[in-house]
Amino acid sequence: MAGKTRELGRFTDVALLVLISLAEGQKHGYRMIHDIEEFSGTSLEPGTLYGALMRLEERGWIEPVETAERRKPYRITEGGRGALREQLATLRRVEQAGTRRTGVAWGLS
Amino acid sequence: MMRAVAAAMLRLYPKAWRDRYGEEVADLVASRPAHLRTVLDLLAGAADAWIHHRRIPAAGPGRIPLAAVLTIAGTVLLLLWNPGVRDAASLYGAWAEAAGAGPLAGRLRGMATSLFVLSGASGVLSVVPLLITSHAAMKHSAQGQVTRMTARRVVTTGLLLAVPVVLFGCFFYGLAFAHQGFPVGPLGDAMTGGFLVPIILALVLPLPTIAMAAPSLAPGVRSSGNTLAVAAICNALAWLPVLVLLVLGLPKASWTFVAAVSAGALVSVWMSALVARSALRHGRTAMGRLSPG
Repeated sequence: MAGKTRELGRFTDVALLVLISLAEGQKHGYRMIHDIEEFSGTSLEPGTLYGALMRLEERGWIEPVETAERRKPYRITEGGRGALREQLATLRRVEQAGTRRTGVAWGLS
Repeated sequence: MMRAVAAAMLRLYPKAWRDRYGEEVADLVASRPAHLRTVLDLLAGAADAWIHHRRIPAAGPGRIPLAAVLTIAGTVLLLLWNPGVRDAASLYGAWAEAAGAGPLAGRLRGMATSLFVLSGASGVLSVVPLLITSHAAMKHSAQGQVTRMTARRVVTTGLLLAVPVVLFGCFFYGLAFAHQGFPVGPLGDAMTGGFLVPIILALVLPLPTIAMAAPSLAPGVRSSGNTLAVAAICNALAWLPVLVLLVLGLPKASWTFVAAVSAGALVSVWMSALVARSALRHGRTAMGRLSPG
Protein backbone atom coordinates (compact mmCIF):
# COMPACT_ATOMS: atom_id res chain seq x y z
CA MET A 1 0.00 0.00 0.00
CA ALA A 2 2.84 2.36 0.87
CA GLY A 3 4.38 1.73 -2.54
CA LYS A 4 1.06 2.49 -4.23
CA THR A 5 0.80 5.75 -2.27
CA ARG A 6 4.30 6.78 -3.34
CA GLU A 7 3.29 6.26 -7.00
CA LEU A 8 0.74 9.07 -6.62
CA GLY A 9 3.66 11.51 -6.89
CA ARG A 10 2.71 15.17 -6.57
CA PHE A 11 -0.94 14.09 -6.17
CA THR A 12 -0.28 12.30 -2.84
CA ASP A 13 -1.46 15.21 -0.66
CA VAL A 14 -4.47 15.95 -2.87
CA ALA A 15 -5.41 12.24 -2.92
CA LEU A 16 -5.34 12.17 0.87
CA LEU A 17 -7.62 15.21 1.03
CA VAL A 18 -10.02 13.60 -1.46
CA LEU A 19 -10.11 10.34 0.54
CA ILE A 20 -10.81 12.27 3.77
CA SER A 21 -13.57 14.21 2.02
CA LEU A 22 -15.21 11.06 0.66
CA ALA A 23 -14.83 9.19 3.95
CA GLU A 24 -17.97 10.90 5.27
CA GLY A 25 -20.05 10.15 2.17
CA GLN A 26 -20.21 10.34 -1.62
CA LYS A 27 -19.60 13.70 -3.29
CA HIS A 28 -19.20 15.13 -6.77
CA GLY A 29 -16.26 17.33 -7.81
CA TYR A 30 -17.88 20.66 -6.95
CA ARG A 31 -18.80 19.57 -3.40
CA MET A 32 -15.39 17.96 -2.91
CA ILE A 33 -13.61 21.24 -3.70
CA HIS A 34 -15.80 23.15 -1.22
CA ASP A 35 -15.48 20.48 1.47
CA ILE A 36 -11.68 20.27 1.13
CA GLU A 37 -11.38 24.04 1.27
CA GLU A 38 -13.54 24.07 4.39
CA PHE A 39 -11.68 21.45 6.42
CA SER A 40 -8.12 22.03 5.17
CA GLY A 41 -8.00 25.54 3.76
CA THR A 42 -6.65 24.13 0.51
CA SER A 43 -8.25 25.58 -2.62
CA LEU A 44 -8.09 22.97 -5.38
CA GLU A 45 -8.42 23.72 -9.07
CA PRO A 46 -10.27 21.29 -11.40
CA GLY A 47 -7.14 20.01 -13.20
CA THR A 48 -5.46 19.00 -9.95
CA LEU A 49 -8.62 17.50 -8.46
CA TYR A 50 -9.32 15.33 -11.50
CA GLY A 51 -5.65 14.31 -11.80
CA ALA A 52 -6.01 12.89 -8.27
CA LEU A 53 -9.46 11.37 -8.96
CA MET A 54 -8.06 9.60 -12.05
CA ARG A 55 -5.26 8.04 -9.98
CA LEU A 56 -7.55 7.08 -7.08
CA GLU A 57 -10.03 5.49 -9.47
CA GLU A 58 -7.25 3.61 -11.26
CA ARG A 59 -6.14 2.13 -7.91
CA GLY A 60 -9.72 1.21 -7.01
CA TRP A 61 -9.69 3.47 -3.91
CA ILE A 62 -12.71 5.42 -5.12
CA GLU A 63 -15.47 4.61 -7.63
CA PRO A 64 -18.08 6.64 -9.51
CA VAL A 65 -21.68 6.32 -8.42
CA GLU A 66 -24.13 5.67 -11.25
CA THR A 67 -26.50 8.59 -11.54
CA ALA A 68 -28.69 10.24 -14.14
CA GLU A 69 -27.46 13.67 -13.02
CA ARG A 70 -24.81 15.58 -14.89
CA ARG A 71 -22.57 15.83 -11.82
CA LYS A 72 -21.21 12.37 -11.13
CA PRO A 73 -20.60 11.60 -7.44
CA TYR A 74 -17.71 9.44 -6.23
CA ARG A 75 -17.53 7.20 -3.17
CA ILE A 76 -14.63 5.70 -1.29
CA THR A 77 -14.13 1.90 -1.53
CA GLU A 78 -12.97 -0.50 1.18
CA GLY A 79 -9.50 -0.43 -0.38
CA GLY A 80 -9.61 3.36 -0.21
CA ARG A 81 -10.59 3.29 3.47
CA GLY A 82 -7.66 0.96 4.19
CA ALA A 83 -5.27 3.27 2.33
CA LEU A 84 -6.67 6.29 4.18
CA ARG A 85 -6.27 4.58 7.58
CA GLU A 86 -2.67 3.71 6.73
CA GLN A 87 -1.84 7.24 5.59
CA LEU A 88 -3.45 8.78 8.67
CA ALA A 89 -1.49 6.38 10.91
CA THR A 90 1.72 7.47 9.14
CA LEU A 91 0.79 11.13 9.63
CA ARG A 92 0.11 10.48 13.34
CA ARG A 93 3.56 8.90 13.72
CA VAL A 94 5.12 11.87 11.93
CA GLU A 95 3.15 14.30 14.08
CA GLN A 96 4.17 12.49 17.31
CA ALA A 97 7.82 12.39 16.26
CA GLY A 98 7.69 16.05 15.34
CA THR A 99 6.05 17.06 18.62
CA ARG A 100 8.53 14.99 20.62
CA ARG A 101 11.58 16.37 18.85
CA THR A 102 10.49 20.01 18.74
CA GLY A 103 9.48 19.66 22.41
CA VAL A 104 13.02 18.48 23.24
CA ALA A 105 14.56 21.23 21.17
CA TRP A 106 12.39 23.92 22.78
CA GLY A 107 12.80 22.45 26.29
CA LEU A 108 9.08 21.67 26.70
CA SER A 109 9.29 17.96 27.50
CA MET B 1 -13.37 35.50 -20.81
CA MET B 2 -11.10 33.47 -18.50
CA ARG B 3 -13.85 30.87 -18.09
CA ALA B 4 -14.06 30.43 -21.87
CA VAL B 5 -10.26 30.00 -22.03
CA ALA B 6 -10.42 27.47 -19.18
CA ALA B 7 -13.20 25.56 -20.96
CA ALA B 8 -11.13 25.57 -24.16
CA MET B 9 -8.25 23.95 -22.23
CA LEU B 10 -10.37 20.79 -21.96
CA ARG B 11 -9.87 20.21 -25.69
CA LEU B 12 -6.20 19.64 -24.98
CA TYR B 13 -6.93 16.52 -22.93
CA PRO B 14 -6.81 13.05 -24.54
CA LYS B 15 -10.12 11.85 -25.97
CA ALA B 16 -10.37 8.97 -23.47
CA TRP B 17 -10.02 11.47 -20.62
CA ARG B 18 -12.63 13.80 -22.15
CA ASP B 19 -15.03 10.89 -22.63
CA ARG B 20 -14.60 9.92 -18.99
CA TYR B 21 -14.31 13.24 -17.13
CA GLY B 22 -14.88 15.97 -19.74
CA GLU B 23 -18.52 16.72 -18.95
CA GLU B 24 -17.94 16.80 -15.17
CA VAL B 25 -14.96 19.13 -15.42
CA ALA B 26 -16.74 21.37 -17.95
CA ASP B 27 -19.60 21.66 -15.45
CA LEU B 28 -17.14 22.41 -12.66
CA VAL B 29 -15.40 25.10 -14.71
CA ALA B 30 -18.76 26.65 -15.61
CA SER B 31 -19.93 26.80 -12.00
CA ARG B 32 -16.83 28.32 -10.35
CA PRO B 33 -14.89 31.53 -10.82
CA ALA B 34 -12.08 30.98 -13.34
CA HIS B 35 -8.68 32.62 -12.89
CA LEU B 36 -5.36 32.45 -14.68
CA ARG B 37 -4.29 29.75 -12.22
CA THR B 38 -7.37 27.69 -13.24
CA VAL B 39 -6.23 27.84 -16.88
CA LEU B 40 -2.63 26.95 -15.97
CA ASP B 41 -3.84 24.13 -13.71
CA LEU B 42 -5.95 22.66 -16.54
CA LEU B 43 -3.01 23.04 -18.93
CA ALA B 44 -0.76 21.11 -16.52
CA GLY B 45 -3.57 18.57 -16.05
CA ALA B 46 -3.78 18.03 -19.82
CA ALA B 47 -0.03 17.41 -20.04
CA ASP B 48 -0.31 15.01 -17.09
CA ALA B 49 -3.24 13.16 -18.73
CA TRP B 50 -1.23 12.70 -21.95
CA ILE B 51 1.87 11.54 -20.07
CA HIS B 52 -0.15 9.12 -17.90
CA HIS B 53 -2.64 8.13 -20.59
CA ARG B 54 -2.71 4.52 -19.42
CA ARG B 55 -4.03 5.56 -16.03
CA ILE B 56 -7.26 6.89 -17.49
CA PRO B 57 -9.98 4.36 -16.56
CA ALA B 58 -11.17 2.38 -19.63
CA ALA B 59 -8.58 4.09 -21.85
CA GLY B 60 -7.50 2.10 -24.86
CA PRO B 61 -3.96 2.29 -26.22
CA GLY B 62 -2.82 5.90 -26.58
CA ARG B 63 -3.40 7.35 -30.03
CA ILE B 64 -1.59 10.32 -31.48
CA PRO B 65 -4.09 12.68 -33.17
CA LEU B 66 -4.13 12.35 -36.97
CA ALA B 67 -3.41 16.08 -37.37
CA ALA B 68 -0.16 15.65 -35.40
CA VAL B 69 0.82 12.56 -37.41
CA LEU B 70 0.18 14.37 -40.71
CA THR B 71 2.08 17.46 -39.53
CA ILE B 72 5.09 15.33 -38.60
CA ALA B 73 4.89 13.33 -41.85
CA GLY B 74 4.65 16.55 -43.89
CA THR B 75 7.68 18.02 -42.10
CA VAL B 76 9.63 14.79 -42.67
CA LEU B 77 8.74 14.95 -46.39
CA LEU B 78 10.01 18.52 -46.68
CA LEU B 79 13.18 17.58 -44.80
CA LEU B 80 13.72 14.58 -47.10
CA TRP B 81 12.95 16.59 -50.21
CA ASN B 82 16.00 18.76 -49.67
CA PRO B 83 18.67 16.02 -49.76
CA GLY B 84 16.44 14.09 -52.19
CA VAL B 85 16.53 16.67 -54.97
CA ARG B 86 19.63 18.68 -54.11
CA ASP B 87 22.21 15.99 -54.76
CA ALA B 88 23.03 17.32 -58.22
CA ALA B 89 25.64 14.65 -59.02
CA SER B 90 23.22 11.81 -58.27
CA LEU B 91 20.26 13.52 -59.94
CA TYR B 92 22.03 14.17 -63.22
CA GLY B 93 24.16 11.01 -63.09
CA ALA B 94 21.19 8.73 -62.43
CA TRP B 95 19.14 10.47 -65.14
CA ALA B 96 21.97 10.14 -67.69
CA GLU B 97 22.31 6.45 -66.84
CA ALA B 98 18.53 5.88 -67.09
CA ALA B 99 18.29 7.88 -70.32
CA GLY B 100 20.89 5.52 -71.79
CA ALA B 101 18.19 2.83 -71.74
CA GLY B 102 16.34 4.65 -74.53
CA PRO B 103 13.09 6.64 -74.75
CA LEU B 104 11.68 4.74 -71.75
CA ALA B 105 13.24 7.25 -69.33
CA GLY B 106 11.42 10.18 -70.93
CA ARG B 107 8.11 8.30 -70.86
CA LEU B 108 8.60 7.34 -67.20
CA ARG B 109 9.37 10.93 -66.30
CA GLY B 110 6.25 12.18 -68.10
CA MET B 111 4.14 9.49 -66.45
CA ALA B 112 5.38 10.38 -62.95
CA THR B 113 4.87 14.11 -63.44
CA SER B 114 1.39 13.65 -64.91
CA LEU B 115 0.29 11.33 -62.10
CA PHE B 116 1.57 13.72 -59.41
CA VAL B 117 -0.25 16.62 -61.09
CA LEU B 118 -3.41 14.49 -61.37
CA SER B 119 -3.10 13.55 -57.70
CA GLY B 120 -2.69 17.15 -56.51
CA ALA B 121 -5.47 18.41 -58.78
CA SER B 122 -7.84 15.63 -57.63
CA GLY B 123 -7.08 16.50 -54.04
CA VAL B 124 -7.97 20.16 -54.52
CA LEU B 125 -11.03 19.37 -56.67
CA SER B 126 -12.26 16.81 -54.13
CA VAL B 127 -13.44 19.58 -51.81
CA VAL B 128 -14.84 21.97 -54.41
CA PRO B 129 -18.35 20.38 -54.53
CA LEU B 130 -18.35 20.32 -50.72
CA LEU B 131 -17.45 24.02 -50.59
CA ILE B 132 -20.15 24.90 -53.14
CA THR B 133 -22.79 22.89 -51.20
CA SER B 134 -21.64 24.44 -47.91
CA HIS B 135 -21.73 27.95 -49.36
CA ALA B 136 -25.30 27.37 -50.53
CA ALA B 137 -26.31 25.76 -47.20
CA MET B 138 -24.99 28.58 -45.02
CA LYS B 139 -27.21 31.08 -46.80
CA HIS B 140 -30.29 28.87 -46.94
CA SER B 141 -32.61 29.76 -44.08
CA ALA B 142 -34.54 26.46 -44.50
CA GLN B 143 -31.45 24.56 -43.29
CA GLY B 144 -31.13 23.77 -39.59
CA GLN B 145 -28.84 25.81 -37.36
CA VAL B 146 -26.29 22.98 -37.06
CA THR B 147 -26.07 22.67 -40.85
CA ARG B 148 -25.67 26.41 -41.34
CA MET B 149 -23.01 26.69 -38.63
CA THR B 150 -21.12 23.67 -39.95
CA ALA B 151 -21.37 24.98 -43.52
CA ARG B 152 -19.99 28.34 -42.36
CA ARG B 153 -17.08 26.61 -40.63
CA VAL B 154 -16.37 24.59 -43.80
CA VAL B 155 -16.31 27.72 -45.97
CA THR B 156 -14.20 29.73 -43.49
CA THR B 157 -11.71 26.89 -43.05
CA GLY B 158 -11.65 26.43 -46.83
CA LEU B 159 -10.74 30.09 -47.32
CA LEU B 160 -7.99 29.88 -44.68
CA LEU B 161 -6.54 26.67 -46.11
CA ALA B 162 -6.66 28.00 -49.67
CA VAL B 163 -3.57 30.11 -48.88
CA PRO B 164 -1.16 27.22 -48.03
CA VAL B 165 -2.71 25.00 -50.72
CA VAL B 166 -2.09 27.65 -53.40
CA LEU B 167 1.42 28.27 -52.05
CA PHE B 168 2.33 24.57 -52.22
CA GLY B 169 0.68 24.31 -55.67
CA CYS B 170 2.73 27.27 -56.97
CA PHE B 171 5.84 25.81 -55.35
CA PHE B 172 5.24 22.50 -57.16
CA TYR B 173 4.59 24.23 -60.49
CA GLY B 174 7.62 26.48 -60.14
CA LEU B 175 9.98 23.61 -59.35
CA ALA B 176 8.66 20.97 -61.74
CA PHE B 177 7.59 23.05 -64.73
CA ALA B 178 9.03 26.58 -64.56
CA HIS B 179 12.52 25.39 -63.53
CA GLN B 180 12.76 27.85 -60.70
CA GLY B 181 15.00 27.36 -57.70
CA PHE B 182 17.83 24.85 -57.57
CA PRO B 183 18.26 23.08 -60.96
CA VAL B 184 17.18 19.49 -60.37
CA GLY B 185 17.12 18.09 -63.89
CA PRO B 186 14.51 15.74 -65.36
CA LEU B 187 14.70 13.23 -62.49
CA GLY B 188 14.20 15.96 -59.87
CA ASP B 189 11.27 17.37 -61.87
CA ALA B 190 9.71 13.89 -61.96
CA MET B 191 9.85 13.32 -58.21
CA THR B 192 9.19 16.82 -56.80
CA GLY B 193 5.43 16.28 -56.80
CA GLY B 194 5.78 13.24 -54.54
CA PHE B 195 7.22 15.41 -51.77
CA LEU B 196 4.59 18.17 -52.06
CA VAL B 197 1.32 16.58 -53.16
CA PRO B 198 0.66 14.61 -49.92
CA ILE B 199 0.92 17.89 -48.01
CA ILE B 200 -1.74 19.40 -50.30
CA LEU B 201 -3.96 16.34 -49.71
CA ALA B 202 -3.51 16.67 -45.94
CA LEU B 203 -4.36 20.39 -46.11
CA VAL B 204 -7.79 19.74 -47.66
CA LEU B 205 -8.70 16.95 -45.22
CA PRO B 206 -10.09 19.30 -42.49
CA LEU B 207 -12.99 20.26 -44.78
CA PRO B 208 -14.73 16.83 -44.95
CA THR B 209 -13.77 16.34 -41.29
CA ILE B 210 -15.72 19.47 -40.30
CA ALA B 211 -18.56 18.85 -42.78
CA MET B 212 -19.38 15.40 -41.39
CA ALA B 213 -21.09 17.09 -38.41
CA ALA B 214 -24.01 18.11 -40.67
CA PRO B 215 -26.08 15.22 -42.10
CA SER B 216 -27.18 17.23 -45.14
CA LEU B 217 -23.52 17.61 -46.18
CA ALA B 218 -22.94 13.83 -45.98
CA PRO B 219 -23.07 13.16 -49.77
CA GLY B 220 -20.41 15.85 -50.26
CA VAL B 221 -18.25 14.30 -47.53
CA ARG B 222 -18.50 10.86 -49.15
CA SER B 223 -17.72 12.23 -52.60
CA SER B 224 -14.73 14.11 -51.14
CA GLY B 225 -13.47 10.91 -49.51
CA ASN B 226 -13.75 8.94 -52.75
CA THR B 227 -11.89 11.58 -54.76
CA LEU B 228 -9.17 11.88 -52.10
CA ALA B 229 -8.74 8.09 -52.28
CA VAL B 230 -8.24 8.38 -56.06
CA ALA B 231 -5.71 11.17 -55.43
CA ALA B 232 -3.82 8.96 -52.96
CA ILE B 233 -3.75 6.08 -55.47
CA CYS B 234 -2.41 8.42 -58.18
CA ASN B 235 0.30 9.62 -55.77
CA ALA B 236 1.33 6.03 -55.01
CA LEU B 237 1.31 5.07 -58.71
CA ALA B 238 3.38 8.16 -59.60
CA TRP B 239 6.23 6.93 -57.41
CA LEU B 240 6.54 3.69 -59.45
CA PRO B 241 8.08 5.32 -62.58
CA VAL B 242 10.33 7.41 -60.28
CA LEU B 243 11.59 4.25 -58.59
CA VAL B 244 12.12 2.53 -61.96
CA LEU B 245 14.20 5.56 -63.06
CA LEU B 246 16.12 5.34 -59.80
CA VAL B 247 16.83 1.62 -60.36
CA LEU B 248 17.97 2.29 -63.93
CA GLY B 249 20.30 5.06 -62.73
CA LEU B 250 21.43 3.30 -59.58
CA PRO B 251 25.11 2.96 -60.58
CA LYS B 252 25.45 6.76 -60.68
CA ALA B 253 23.45 7.55 -57.54
CA SER B 254 24.93 7.98 -54.08
CA TRP B 255 23.53 5.82 -51.27
CA THR B 256 22.35 8.90 -49.33
CA PHE B 257 20.40 10.05 -52.40
CA VAL B 258 18.82 6.59 -52.85
CA ALA B 259 17.99 6.42 -49.13
CA ALA B 260 16.43 9.92 -49.12
CA VAL B 261 14.30 9.26 -52.20
CA SER B 262 13.22 5.79 -50.98
CA ALA B 263 12.30 7.16 -47.54
CA GLY B 264 10.52 10.08 -49.24
CA ALA B 265 8.51 7.65 -51.39
CA LEU B 266 7.50 5.58 -48.36
CA VAL B 267 6.46 8.61 -46.28
CA SER B 268 4.66 10.15 -49.26
CA VAL B 269 2.60 7.00 -49.99
CA TRP B 270 1.91 6.40 -46.28
CA MET B 271 0.84 9.99 -45.69
CA SER B 272 -1.53 10.10 -48.66
CA ALA B 273 -2.94 6.69 -47.65
CA LEU B 274 -3.63 8.05 -44.15
CA VAL B 275 -5.46 11.04 -45.63
CA ALA B 276 -7.50 8.79 -47.95
CA ARG B 277 -8.38 6.31 -45.18
CA SER B 278 -9.51 9.10 -42.89
CA ALA B 279 -11.57 10.79 -45.63
CA LEU B 280 -13.22 7.49 -46.60
CA ARG B 281 -14.10 6.81 -42.95
CA HIS B 282 -15.62 10.27 -42.65
CA GLY B 283 -17.72 9.55 -45.74
CA ARG B 284 -18.95 6.22 -44.34
CA THR B 285 -19.70 7.74 -40.91
CA ALA B 286 -21.54 10.71 -42.42
CA MET B 287 -23.64 8.51 -44.71
CA GLY B 288 -24.33 6.14 -41.79
CA ARG B 289 -25.77 9.04 -39.79
CA LEU B 290 -27.90 10.05 -42.77
CA SER B 291 -29.59 6.65 -43.02
CA PRO B 292 -29.54 4.94 -39.62
CA GLY B 293 -30.42 1.25 -39.59
